[in-house]
Amino acid sequence: MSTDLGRALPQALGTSPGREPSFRSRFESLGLHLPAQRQTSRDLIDSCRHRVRIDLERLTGIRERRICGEGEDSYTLAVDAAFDCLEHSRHEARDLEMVVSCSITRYKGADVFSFEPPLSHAIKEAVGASQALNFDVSNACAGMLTGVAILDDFIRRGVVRCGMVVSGEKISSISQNATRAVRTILSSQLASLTVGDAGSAVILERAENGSRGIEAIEFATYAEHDQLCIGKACATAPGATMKTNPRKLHDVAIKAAVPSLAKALERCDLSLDEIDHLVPHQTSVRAIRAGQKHVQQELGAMAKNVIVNLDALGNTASTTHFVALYKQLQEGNLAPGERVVLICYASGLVVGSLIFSVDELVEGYGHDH
Amino acid sequence: MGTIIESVGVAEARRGLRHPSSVELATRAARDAIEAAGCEAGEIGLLINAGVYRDENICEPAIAPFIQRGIGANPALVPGGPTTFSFDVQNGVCGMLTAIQVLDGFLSSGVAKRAMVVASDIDPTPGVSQGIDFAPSGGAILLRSVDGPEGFTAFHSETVGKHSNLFEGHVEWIGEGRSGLSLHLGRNHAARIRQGENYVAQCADCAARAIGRFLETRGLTLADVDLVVPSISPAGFPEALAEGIDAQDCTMPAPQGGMGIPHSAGPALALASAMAGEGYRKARSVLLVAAGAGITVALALYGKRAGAV
Repeated sequence: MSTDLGRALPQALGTSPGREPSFRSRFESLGLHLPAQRQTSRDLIDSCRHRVRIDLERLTGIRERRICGEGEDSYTLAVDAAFDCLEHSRHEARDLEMVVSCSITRYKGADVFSFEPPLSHAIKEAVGASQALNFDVSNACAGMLTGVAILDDFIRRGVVRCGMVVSGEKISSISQNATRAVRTILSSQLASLTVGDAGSAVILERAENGSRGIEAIEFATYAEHDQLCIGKACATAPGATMKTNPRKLHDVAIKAAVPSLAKALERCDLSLDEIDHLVPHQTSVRAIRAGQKHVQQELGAMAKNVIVNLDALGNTASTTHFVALYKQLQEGNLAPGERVVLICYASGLVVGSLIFSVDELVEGYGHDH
Repeated sequence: MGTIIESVGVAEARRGLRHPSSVELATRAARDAIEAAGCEAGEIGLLINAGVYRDENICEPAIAPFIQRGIGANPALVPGGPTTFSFDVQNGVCGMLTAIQVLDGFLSSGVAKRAMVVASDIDPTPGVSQGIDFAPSGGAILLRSVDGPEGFTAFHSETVGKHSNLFEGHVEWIGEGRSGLSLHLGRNHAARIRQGENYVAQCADCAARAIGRFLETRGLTLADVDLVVPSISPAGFPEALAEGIDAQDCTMPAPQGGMGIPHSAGPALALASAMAGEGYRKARSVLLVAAGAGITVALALYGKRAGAV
């Protein structure tokens, strides 16, 4: 893909005051793929090597999660989600000018963590979008929203009209490996037991017909906290392990989420009680409720509805926001004109907020679809 | 309004160090670039790491935050204070040019005044890796938004899917069958890079064709480009590209300070070498070229004032 640069065209991500974008972008369609295999929190705790007296479901609000079976990996989840996204889209694969893959996990084949070529290359070839500019983004659980911020910028500047952000997370190996280490609620690998596998994709396009689309994106990385959550190849088993300091991570994240959210709202000239749905990163019900309380105290308002999507899927890493939105679309819970804010906090420590207006996106989903 | 290259930094592994760190290499290269530009790290509002093979195969968080903290670019939450957003972009040897394209967009949109792309690679599984023949090294390119006609004017990227099997790099589990002490002492994950015999020749061929198409669509020829700067990596790529295109000034920079051939930092190291030469100072138009796994070709056309470095 080739681009000549239109200059001085501002956009949403941290745009300087007074600048108006040339174009807006909107979510045109969402795609989802979930592996069929389910694992309950009770089964997961029962499979722990040590005798663990934790009611994981009560602690986190996660009853079960999906886990990859044989032949499923980050790549296949991403491709299947991309196909689902295209099925819900009026675009064809050949319309995609950009494909960005944003997963933390990069499994392509059994126990093979792939670096080159990038996953986005294989994904675009699989769906038939060879012409698209492709690259991978890695930004922990903020991956998909980071990809969206990049694609949104390209669309706003008029460089591309349509592209896809996709992520396949086969992250359950950290959960599997944690079952050998977790002993108590204080374990550094306890948070690993909350994750589930999922593939998610979203097509962004230039907004036409007056759609407000994506109105603000705000991101910052507070790198002094880069050690609070580290995931890497496991030393003694296939897959990865993740060690976190969940309490500190949570405290820092909700503290940093306030200015991020405030800036994004200010850019749209909105207050939080004018937001219809708030989708936080899906970690645990307790963490979400505590974060909600803190934000309400600090900003003096709260969104009308806070979406929690943990019960059947757990924390699906970089895909959580779009997995949650997909379910809301399917259940018919979003209405045109409503405003949604997505808040992410991720290892790094990355905090981000995205505000968008719901539009005809809802038409492609619902009980009958 | 445009995005100019303000400075370039490079770092090689310290002599005698058996296991250099990818974060340390990238951080040193970044500091080198910051020092050359005479700016403060806190002025860098966006930081992208485009490195591929990293310390301990860390997959979370991105590597960029470690580098952000290393250089001291707004690591702390200061109410109302400046912030830096950092993340990784991966596109093999083309990653740095892809990251420049992303950063150029954000800069022109007014997200920040300064941005940086860094890249570094090390052998992530020393002793058990196969096919890692690059030298551990890091590079950094500092970008700044300016008013005026200077800066990047066009980007181009294309992939040739039929060559996707010519270069493949991954980390895989090799601990099957091990147990007890051998499992706990063994190095159970191993990096594997497999490069097809004619990979470099195909990279050069794909790049030459892409350059032709890219320039033609803009009504340009190679005669309009004063300087072509091909990535130093993969080994032999600049020489092969020079044969494939008719560029009188296709630079073939010698690795600096005895450094070997890098991997994802190739474009930065090529640029550092080029900027030390007279050809770069005189040039008004510079074409940055990278080719890597995919095969992916990335091109960036850069306009500058003659005499500027």
